[in-house]
Formats: sequence, C-alpha cells, structure tokens
Amino acid sequence: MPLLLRLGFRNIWRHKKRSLITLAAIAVGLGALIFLRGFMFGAQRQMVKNLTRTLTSDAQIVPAALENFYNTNGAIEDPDPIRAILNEDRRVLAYAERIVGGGMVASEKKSMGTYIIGLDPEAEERIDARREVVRGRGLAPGGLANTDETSVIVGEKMRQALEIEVGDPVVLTAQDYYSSLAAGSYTVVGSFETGNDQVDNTMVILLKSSAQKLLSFEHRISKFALKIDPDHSLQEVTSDLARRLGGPDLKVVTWETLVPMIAQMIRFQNGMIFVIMAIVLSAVAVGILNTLMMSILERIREFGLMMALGMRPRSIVRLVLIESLCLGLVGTLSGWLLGAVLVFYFGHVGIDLTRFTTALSNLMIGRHVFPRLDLSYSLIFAGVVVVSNLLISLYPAWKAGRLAPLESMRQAG
Amino acid sequence: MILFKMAFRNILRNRKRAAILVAAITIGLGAMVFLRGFASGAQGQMVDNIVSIITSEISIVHKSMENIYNTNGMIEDPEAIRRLLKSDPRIQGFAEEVFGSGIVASPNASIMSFVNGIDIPQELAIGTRIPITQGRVYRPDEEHALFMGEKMREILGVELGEKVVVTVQDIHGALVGEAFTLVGTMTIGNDQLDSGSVVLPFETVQRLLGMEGRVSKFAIKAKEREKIPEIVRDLKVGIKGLGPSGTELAVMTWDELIPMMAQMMRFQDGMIFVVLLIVLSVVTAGILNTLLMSVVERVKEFGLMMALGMRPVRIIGLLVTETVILSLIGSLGGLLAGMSAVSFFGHFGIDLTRFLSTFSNLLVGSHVYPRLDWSTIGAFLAVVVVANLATALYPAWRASRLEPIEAMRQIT
Repeated sequence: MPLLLRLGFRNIWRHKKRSLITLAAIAVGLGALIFLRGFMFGAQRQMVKNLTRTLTSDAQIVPAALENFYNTNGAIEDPDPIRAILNEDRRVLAYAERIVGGGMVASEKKSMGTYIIGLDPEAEERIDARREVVRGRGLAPGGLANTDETSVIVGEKMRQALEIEVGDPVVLTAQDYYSSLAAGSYTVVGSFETGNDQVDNTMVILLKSSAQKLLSFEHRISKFALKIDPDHSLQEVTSDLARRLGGPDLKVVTWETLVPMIAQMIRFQNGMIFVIMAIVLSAVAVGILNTLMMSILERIREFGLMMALGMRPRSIVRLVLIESLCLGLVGTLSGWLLGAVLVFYFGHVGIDLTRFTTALSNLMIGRHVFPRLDLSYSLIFAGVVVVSNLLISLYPAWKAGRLAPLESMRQAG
Repeated sequence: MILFKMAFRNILRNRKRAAILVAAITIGLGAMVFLRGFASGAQGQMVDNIVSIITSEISIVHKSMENIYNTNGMIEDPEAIRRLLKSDPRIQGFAEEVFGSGIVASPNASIMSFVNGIDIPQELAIGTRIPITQGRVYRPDEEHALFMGEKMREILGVELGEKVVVTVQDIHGALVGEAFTLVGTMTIGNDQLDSGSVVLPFETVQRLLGMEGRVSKFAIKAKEREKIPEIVRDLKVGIKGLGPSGTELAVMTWDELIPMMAQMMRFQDGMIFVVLLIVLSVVTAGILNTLLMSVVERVKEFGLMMALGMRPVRIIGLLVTETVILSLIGSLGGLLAGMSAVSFFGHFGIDLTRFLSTFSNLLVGSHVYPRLDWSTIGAFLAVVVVANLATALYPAWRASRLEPIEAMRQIT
C-alpha cells in the first residue's frame, strides 16, 4: 500500500501545473460555495435577529385563536399560572407581557388602521427587544410616578402619513374585550423605524397598563413574548412549554409561525443552495475526470509495462483511485480553508449593502451583511466533493485496469 | 482556412478529451440556463399573481399611499384621470377602487382589516383574479354583501350567510358601522391579506367613507405588457399636466406597492449572478488545464511547424481557433440542454405541492413553470465564450514562444 501511495504522489507531482490547476478548480468551487452559504447564513441570522427583536421575540404564548402576527384575537384569561411556569423554567431567559389589538388611529387630519401594541418597556428591555426611536423619545418605564399613561409612539411612516409632529394628539379607537368600541386620546411622544414598511406604517405602541385600560382587558393580557436561551433548541423548549401549559385555549408559537413569509424565504434559500451545489460540483467533477483521463492516456505505456512486470490490474485501479483521492482531499481541504478564511474575513469587516440598503430594508437584514460559517453545510459540501470525485474516478480507473499489457506497451507515445 | 482545418484535426485527434471539455461547458452552461429559467419562472408567476390578484399592472393613487399596507389619500378629481386614461390607445382598460381601513366584527371576535370597494365587472374586464375558496362574490344588486379572506372567516368564527359588522372612520372623522352578509371567502396566499381584508361593493364603500365622487385608486391594464414602462412614463407626465390636483398623485407599479417581494427577487437575481461566476471559474480552470496539456503534448509538432516557417502569431491563432470551436460547440450544447430542460419543465411544471404550505406566502403557486429568459441567456453565452478565449491566450502565448530547435529535440 505505501508503494501505491508513493507512486500516486509521484504521478501527481510529475505534472505540477496540471495538478495545481485541478486543485485550484476544486478549491475555488468549494471555497466559493462555502462563502456563498456563509453569506446567506449570515444574512438569514441577521434577518431573524432583527425580526425577533423588533417584532416577534423568539417565541410567544398566545391564545389559540391567534393565527399569525397579523391578528390580534383572544386574550389570556389567567396569566398567573403561566408566569409561575415561565419563572421556573431556566431555558426561558426572560419574558414580556404584551397587549395587542386592531383598531384605528386618527389625527386631526387623517385616520388609518393600526395594530395597537401595549408593552412594558422594562420587560421589553429584558427580552432584548429593540425599536429604533428616530424622533422624540421612547416610552419611559412604568412605576409609581408614571407619567406616560397617555403617551404613544408610532411608526415614523405612520407619523408622516398622519401628518403630525411629536407632541401632537391622536385618538385611538378599537374594539375592546367586551366587543364594544372604545376610544382614548393620547399624545405622540416619539416615532420609531424598523425598516419594514408594514410595521412602520401600521404600529402604535403604548404602555401595557394603558392598553389594558383602553381595551378593558383588566388583568388579562394578549401574549407572552419569550426570550429563549439560544443554547437550547427553540422547538424543544416551545413544545415542552406547550405540554406544561396544557389546555386547548393556549398555544406556544415560534417566530416562524408568526411571520411565515420570512421563514418560507429562508427555507427556499436553504433548498436553493443545494441546487447550486449540484451545479458547481458537477462542473468540478468533470474537471477532475478530464485530468484523470489525460494522465491515464499519457501513461498507457507505463501501465502496460507495470502489468507486464506482474502488477495486478486491481493495483492499477487502486493507484488511479489513490491519485484522485489525494487530489480530492488536498483540493477539498484548501477549498474549505479558502471558504472559511473568506467567511471570517468578511464576517469581521462586513459586506456593505449601503448601495442597496433602501432596496433591502424590508427584509430587515440591516446595512451590512456579516457572513458566518455554517459548519454543518460546509462539511456536507466537502463530503460531497470528496465522494463525487471518488465516484467519477471509478470510470478511468476501471479503464486503466482493463488495459492489455502487450498492446499498451506497443502504443506510440 | 488552413487554420480551421488544422484546428479541427487537432480536436478530433483526441476525441475523448474534446468530448469531456465540451461536456464540462455544456453541463455548466446548461445548468445555469435552467437555474435562471427556474428563477424566472417562479418570479414571473409571483409577479403574475401579485399583479392579477393584488395590485394590478399600473396604479394611479395619491402619492401619500406609499405601498399596499396603507390606504392614505384619495383622488379628488377622477374625471380628469378617466379622460387621460381613455385617450391612451395602449391602455386596455381600467377599474376604479376605493379603500380604507376599519374593524370587522362578528359576535365572537373583531379584526382590524382593509376595507376594499371594487366593482366586479370592471375588475374582471382588466383581468383581476379573485381566488374564491367558498361561496361567491356579491351580485350587482346586493348592496350589503361582502367577501373576505378565508383565514379571516376562521378567526371571526362565522359561516357563509351570517352577518358581520364593518366599522370605518369616514373622511370627516366620524365612525360609521353597518352590517353585511358574508357571501364568500377567498385565499390570496398572503397571510396578512387573507387574515385582514374584506371586499364590498364599490358604491357602498364610497358611501361609508364619505368619498362620493372620489376614488382611492385607478387599477390599469395595458394592452401589451412590454409597453408598461413606457405607459408609466407617459402617465407620470400626463398627470403632472392636470395641474395642482395631478401633482398630488403618483403612478406606481407592483414593485413599489409590495417592496418586500421586489427586494426578494433582486436578492435572488444577485445570487444567481454570483453562482454564474463560481461555475464559470470552475469550468474555466478545466479548460485551461486541457489546453495546457494539449500544448505540452504537441511541443515537438509546434517546433516542426515553426521550423518550416510558421509564424508564432499563427500558432496563437491555431490554439485560439481550437478553443473557439470547442467552446462554441459546448455553449451550443449547453444552450440546447438548458433550453430543452426549461421547455420540458415549462410545459409539465415542477410540482411544489409537497412544499405548498411552505411557500404559500411567496405567491408562486403549486407548480413552477420555468421560463426562458432571453436577455440573460445572451449574457451567459457571451460571458462563457469570452472567458474561454481569455483563458486560451496564456497557453497559446506559451506555445508561440517555443524555440523551434529545442522544441523538436524534446522527448515526449
């Protein structure tokens, strides 16, 4: 076996330039794939992070009637036992209670439909929720001396559409818990921007206590927004919680259920990358096949001689396979390193999307994409490269093993 | 001419190698054409669905209505717009719509909702599709009937034939509520719209909102799709000419009204371009390898040809010709392979039913029918041929610098 290995290395070494080019093809193909995946992966993580921080949090406990992020039905009648469960589960890092309602907001000049969100600024901070305030100020945390009982902040786009300034009054109208219409007058103290047109156009935020009062919720709340320890699987924690909560009136949903469009887009991209992988790798494989065929054609006489001297066909097959495996392994290793280095470099400095940032704001990726190494995908890619190269080299190896010694030696070089 | 003959002979001398090289280009280009075709098909279907169900091809709205998530502003003087649209022969037709937002309530629940007023015959005339799931749309004589998203019906917990109350704020700020009979439901595929939109007769909504004689939007259909950018440009000029009331208006297409979809497609397009570059660099490396080999093999031959008086430039010409022939055959094969795959699947469709629930919000539909995208195919082809030519230059230059005597002496 060591002899074959030595022969294999010598043969690869004999044509340095050819071997290098073949290696480069593998390395470029694999490296580019890993980088592409890293870019996608980074962008997806940023998207999810921004989405969960501005809108959904990692998971929510909601009334069973609530289908997705866009509807606001039902209420959690008795939040206390849930609080107890959440407090004792260590995987739930923090939670915030929210009130949601659909209704209308009117300024002196305009009116429009709106999602009304009541929240507790302190709890929101604990679950790491963030909405960038661009004008005025955010809502002050509650407490005894709470002065923000009649204050709201609105999306910046909504502020423009309502034609109001910070300090102006608005009237909120919504159907309350008992299905009668309720209205209240509030002062706009600030506006926020998330980059998502829909949110910036339709959301009004006020304190949880004020929302409970407006909607006659009393002690009830609409949902718990949860921050889950990232070391645990989101799926596992939510299904655990669902089991412990029991009862048909409540369910635990993740952000994917709440904003299905983004989740679908990510799944679409994850499928697409495999199609891309197939294309790139088949191009790489054909390159390898080409190199091997050439190197065998060149060595027909040599193989004939070796066989005439008593080398068994099986060893010849093995020799060719070893050569291909060496090329494949070295190429894969350098490709993986190339991809990883690219990902880490750009993951550090970021890729500037400023030129496209208005174009991509709705996807909530942010101004820079920071690629991130997707270890499992990169290993899958590397594995597929090695295996497919080995498979494709079976053909030339088999051909070489079937050479007839005499005729081969006679062949003109 | 002799160059061509020699090039052909050289290619045929090593058929297997030539075949593999051609195969590499064929697979690479074919796969790219198919990938692009798949993306174009999926995107085309998305746009078709968006345009025919949600936004219409061209919209004239008040400029404060920035996208479909808001219902701001109205058109004060629709008569002027009607005249403008009727005078344009490229426009097949238009429908007038009026909308606002409000609260829809059943005995069990209430939801914030878009309240759309459309005239069914007008909409059908401009090719609007209403994806009815249950029941039907309202009849012209029904003033107090509506249909809504199927999801919304489930949330409200009502059945066909039951009543819901729609409350809106009219343009003077007063709250107006009326009861309507639910006659049908629809499934658009967009969760937000499916769980928050009701459709009522045009006049009813106009009256509820206090917008008599005014409309929210003109939905316009062009006779030929290709003319849309041109029509939009002319309409923009046209509404400016209407004086002060016209400058308040905006002419928009679907990508401005649903920016998220448009952004997603742009992101995909960029991605495909990057993939093209990757595939191309891998294919190019293969070609470089093959050419270098064939030069090494023929060192003696080149030496002899040069000794007999062939000029180095012609050697370059010979190798470049060989590459051109190979890459043209490969590209042609790739185009044929890609195009036949696109036409085959374009005819039968690629079944996404298994993933339907996964992708419903992208509005693609249950099958993707890949489409040929001629403009990008031309670009792919050009890039492949140019890249191959550029690669051929290095080995060709090496070959042309051979020293005749030494080359002939070389042992193979």
